[in-house]
Amino acid sequence: MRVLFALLFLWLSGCASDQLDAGVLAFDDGSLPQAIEAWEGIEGDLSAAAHYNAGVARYRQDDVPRAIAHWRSAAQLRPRSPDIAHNLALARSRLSGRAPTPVGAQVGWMNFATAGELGLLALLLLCAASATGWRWRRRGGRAAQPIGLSAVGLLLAVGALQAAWLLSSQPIAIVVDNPAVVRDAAAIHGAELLELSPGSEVAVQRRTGDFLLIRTADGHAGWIPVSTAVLVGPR
Amino acid sequence: MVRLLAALVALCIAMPGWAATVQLRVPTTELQVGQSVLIGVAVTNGTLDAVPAFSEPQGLRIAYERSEISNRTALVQGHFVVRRTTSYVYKLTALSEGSYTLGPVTLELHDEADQSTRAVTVKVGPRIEAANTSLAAEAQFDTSTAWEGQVVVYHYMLRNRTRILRSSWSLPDFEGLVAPRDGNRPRTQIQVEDPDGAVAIDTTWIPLVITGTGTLDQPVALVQVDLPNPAGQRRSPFGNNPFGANRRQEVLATEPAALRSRPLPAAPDDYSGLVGDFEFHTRLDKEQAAVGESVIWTVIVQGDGTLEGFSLPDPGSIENAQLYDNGPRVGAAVIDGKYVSKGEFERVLVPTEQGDLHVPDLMVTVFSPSEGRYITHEVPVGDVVVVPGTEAAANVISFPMLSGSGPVEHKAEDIRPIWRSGSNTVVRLSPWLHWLLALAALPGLVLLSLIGRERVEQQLAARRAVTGPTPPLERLSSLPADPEQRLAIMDGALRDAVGQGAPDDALQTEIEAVRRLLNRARFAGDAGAGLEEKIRVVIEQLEAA
Repeated sequence: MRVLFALLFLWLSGCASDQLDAGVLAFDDGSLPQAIEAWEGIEGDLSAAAHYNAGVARYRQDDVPRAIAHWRSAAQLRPRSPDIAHNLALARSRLSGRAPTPVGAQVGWMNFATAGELGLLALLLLCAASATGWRWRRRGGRAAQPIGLSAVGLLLAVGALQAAWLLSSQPIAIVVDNPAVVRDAAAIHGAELLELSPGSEVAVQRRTGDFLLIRTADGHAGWIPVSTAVLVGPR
Repeated sequence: MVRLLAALVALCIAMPGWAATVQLRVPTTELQVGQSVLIGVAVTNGTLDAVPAFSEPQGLRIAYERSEISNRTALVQGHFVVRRTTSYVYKLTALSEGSYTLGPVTLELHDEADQSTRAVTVKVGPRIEAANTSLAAEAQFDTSTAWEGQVVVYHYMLRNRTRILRSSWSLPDFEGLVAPRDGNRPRTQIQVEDPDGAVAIDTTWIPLVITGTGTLDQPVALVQVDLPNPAGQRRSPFGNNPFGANRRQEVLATEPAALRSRPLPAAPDDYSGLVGDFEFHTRLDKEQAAVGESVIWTVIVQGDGTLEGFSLPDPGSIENAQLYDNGPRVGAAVIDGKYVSKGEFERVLVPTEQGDLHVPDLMVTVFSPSEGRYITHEVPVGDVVVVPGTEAAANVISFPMLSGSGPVEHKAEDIRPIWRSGSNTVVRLSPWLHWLLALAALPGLVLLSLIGRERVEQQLAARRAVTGPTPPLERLSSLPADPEQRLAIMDGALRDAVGQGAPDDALQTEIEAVRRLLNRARFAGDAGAGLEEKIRVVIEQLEAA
């Protein structure tokens, strides 16, 4: 019961929209810095709407890399949103020729579903499997139904857990502000391998100190300073 | 839950309507006098009120045989689409030599506009008795002279009257030729009825792009054919066994395939890199659009050359509009022995000001092998009437300058506007997911453990039922070292033996004596010397009684 209350509290706290509305008002008044401050200053994990709006404001400020970072975060929460896909495509087209091919989602199916959605489906299937299992125990009959539901539920659960782990352990990084020099070692004296222009979307493999080990979509790997990029995903 | 899933599947299967298509299928276009082949008219996703009628050219006989219906399910743009094809099959018989055109066949579709098939030319040659051998192999290009960069089609064919078990081709290396990125290698196996017996024809086509110049003749292709031994020569009593006892091999060689490649002449500056005879069509998805609204400009390129690496020429800047390229969709196939490629290239036009937007004509220069020169296709695109958008109509500025200091002139809206509703934060399920999943799986796990425990208990009970209780005397043969346990087992064995036997008075007295000794040993600390032997004797007497 306590868990349920905690979940309810969390859900209700997530429903607050005061800062989002304040940002919208500031945006409508033409004050982009205030709107950005309102949206990016939200405590906790930003909603898809907050990320999306912050991306629009950043784009209006000609800060395309940060706009991309926000929209990719929004896309993780709402992967099927046409608005996000449209804006991302336009933002990337402004960088075409400068930034390398962007890396995709950590797992292919995350382009159309979130880890939470898959986990919820797994939850429902496991609950259904338990219910049908107990019914089968009382009434007898064929055990294929609970076994099948359990198998599918467990498969989806493993997929959801793996995605959740990848989102936090191997996020996506967007190079912002200045070009990032990719080095062969996690040190400022490491040999320079290549340079990533602002807006480059790369996959982070691990973090060591102030450096991120990144990999581009075309397979180049190396270390960049943490300060040169923003990470996409849960805070 | 199962019903819910079934309903979801049914919803997915509820497919969108698909336009009807008609097709004339002729498996071979070369026949000899007297030969017959089955041809068909296929109607996909449409219905006819009557069997299609062919106009029968003089020299051919076409007779209706039967109709067949097939359903094929495919996943198209996220929907399951069922395509129902009705095939009307005819028997085509060549009566006299000549070149004949079949079709186009016009079909009156039920509740839809009439559609026509393409026309197919069939060549009927004289009967060549020498060619009517039981087995023949053939390989050649579809043309003997071509241009560098042109796509040619190499086909190899095995013709046989006798039954063959297996065939394996060894093809040349195709030096100076490479396979295009797009394009299949279709294979057909047809049977032609002949007065001297049915002929099976197995043909495969390979599209190839010419990369070299000069003579590119390809050496012979070899085919190894496994044939069944004649009945009188069979060595194995087990029929056609897999070890080949009843088969023999023959190796056939084709003639070398001749091909000469000519280099392309000096190219003009605007040459697109395409070699082939192409057609270009363009269309705009709307004639009127609002400022900031996307207009899709589609260019369709179709021809007999490869579209690999081709992109639309840069039109430069278009006044009052921004232009973006979408990814192309390119496909190719070998149809009736000819290479056909098709590409759809999309551009997105976003008008930035109201008025008439003129899209300049598309100019693409290609090399035409049929004409032997570079030709420039000039494809008119058209105009778009641009009306004010929502924001422009109000003549109000949508977005401020960076400083946020007041209105600025309207800038074309090319990204989608902000979302006005939503929450500040999101409750991510991820940190809780493993606990929630464990919670959901808990009843199932409890059930599994219960079932497991029951199974174990059932197995133990079954084992007990099979083995039964251990006889008293046998229990005495494996006594533990612990004295208390030894005495308890002896006591139990004695009780069981007394319960099973029918002692007389003398034996009863002896039993009582042994019991006293046992009780003293168990509860009074007596050493109980020789007790085990006494109990054994009593139990033996009880069993004997």
